[in-house]
Amino acid sequence: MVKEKEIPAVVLKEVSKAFQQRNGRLLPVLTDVNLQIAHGEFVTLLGPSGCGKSTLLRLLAGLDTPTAGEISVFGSPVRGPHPERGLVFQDPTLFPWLTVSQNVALGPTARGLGVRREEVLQFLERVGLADFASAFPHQLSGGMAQRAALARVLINHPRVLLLDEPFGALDAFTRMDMQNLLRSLVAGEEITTVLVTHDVDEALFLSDRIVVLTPRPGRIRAIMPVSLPHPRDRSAPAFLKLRGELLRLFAQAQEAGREGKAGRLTNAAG
Amino acid sequence: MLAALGEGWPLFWKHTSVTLYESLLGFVLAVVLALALALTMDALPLVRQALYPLLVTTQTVPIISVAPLFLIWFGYGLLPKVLVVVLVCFFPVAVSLLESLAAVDPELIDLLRSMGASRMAQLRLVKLPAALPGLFSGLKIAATYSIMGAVIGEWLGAQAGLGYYMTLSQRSFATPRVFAVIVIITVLSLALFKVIELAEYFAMPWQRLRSEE
Ligand SMILES: Nc1ncnc2c1ncn2[C@@H]1O[C@H](COP(=O)(O)OP(=O)(O)OP(=O)(O)O)[C@@H](O)[C@H]1O
Ligand SMILES: [Mg+2]
Repeated sequence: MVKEKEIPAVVLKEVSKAFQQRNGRLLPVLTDVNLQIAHGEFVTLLGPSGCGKSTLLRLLAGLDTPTAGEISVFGSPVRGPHPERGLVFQDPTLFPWLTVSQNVALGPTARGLGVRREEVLQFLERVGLADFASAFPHQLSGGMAQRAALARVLINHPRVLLLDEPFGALDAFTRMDMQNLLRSLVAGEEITTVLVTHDVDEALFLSDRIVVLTPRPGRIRAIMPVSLPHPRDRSAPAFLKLRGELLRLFAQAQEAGREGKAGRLTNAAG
Repeated sequence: MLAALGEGWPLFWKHTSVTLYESLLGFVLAVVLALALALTMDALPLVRQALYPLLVTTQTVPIISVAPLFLIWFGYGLLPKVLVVVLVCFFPVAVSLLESLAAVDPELIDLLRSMGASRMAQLRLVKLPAALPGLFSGLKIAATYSIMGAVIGEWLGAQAGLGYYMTLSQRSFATPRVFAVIVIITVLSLALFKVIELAEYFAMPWQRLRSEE
């Protein structure tokens, strides 16, 4: 028998996605993405704006279907959304008419399950919001709102966490706080994480591997493993060296995307 | 005018209650119909595409021209007045609810979908609460139209009601009475508006908290 751990958590096989545009033409957004993510691995997607990162997360979440290729999670193909794959957006998207604890209880409530007050409080405690259980979202700061959003996704006991620039709207110090928090939440929890970010330091601080994508249509240009031990020091020489390397890979990916486009244009002309 | 109002109070009250009854009945019917239609149209895009132009077209038909038809078809009783009220109240409620259901932040819906929420749960947990402010602005417009609707219905033919009493008073040149009726109509419309505002206040405690800060 195959042990569950030996099946990769996430497998993307030749995944492509194109959107129908208003003028009827297809807009290719992702092409031939091949990627395997191991159990408990933390993978970050890095790429220029519009290269299809959010689209890729939506495909993984099952909110959208790929135009070609196959996505499987824990050995079974993704057919639609499932609470085992939790999603966090850049915007905290808390429901303004619910209190913080009602927001956190949203998943179980939505599935028609009861949720114990202690359980909600326990998750609020884990994100440091225990004192704000009965506050309304507009009474929270940006960082606190995003903490609530993390508690709201974790209460569903996801096995895969999909994070779309979750800290992109926060100031630098709050962001570092949140990165530490995220690290403490997923490490040792057997949670497989896919993070989208524009922040090179964030990627290096958190990831086991960083996937660099080309401009649209996004394809994988490079994969950089990060084997520094945790907790990582953002100013250590080894960290800074990897940072330089990552920026170089990113620039190359930009370049490759441009050449790819130029190539296609000449083909079309010829 | 105040004297007129004071002297004829029992009579005023009789006509006012008739008009109020027609307005409220028509308003409630219109709201029920509008909710049902808007929810159906929102759930089924094909139905929406088919019915939306029709819905708008019904509004371009002037009430004044169809109301007499109601009279011919349904006589002088309660029904034609209630129908006029339904006709004027239905549209603002249906359209405002429909628009606000369509305008709900898609991320909130995606989030619920990702948590395994059924369509019913999505409606209950996001769409309806998010559409409440829009719905209430439609209800407020409808509430102010409802009394006018009933009065128009009564103008065309009735045995009681403020519209009937107004026509009667005009014919006998009892100008103070006409003014008194106008005041009653205005006060009633305002009162209905306030009732809806009060309901809005209690239906959306989160809005209330925000504005108190
Ligand atoms: N539902 C859709 N219909 C049509 N086009 C879409 C749709 N969703 C995304 N796109 C297009 O796909 C491309 C990639 O979008 P996506 O949001 O995945 O980019 P991204 O890499 O997340 O960008 P950013 O870093 O700015 O968030 C964009 O050009 C966008 O306009
Ligand atoms: Mg994005």
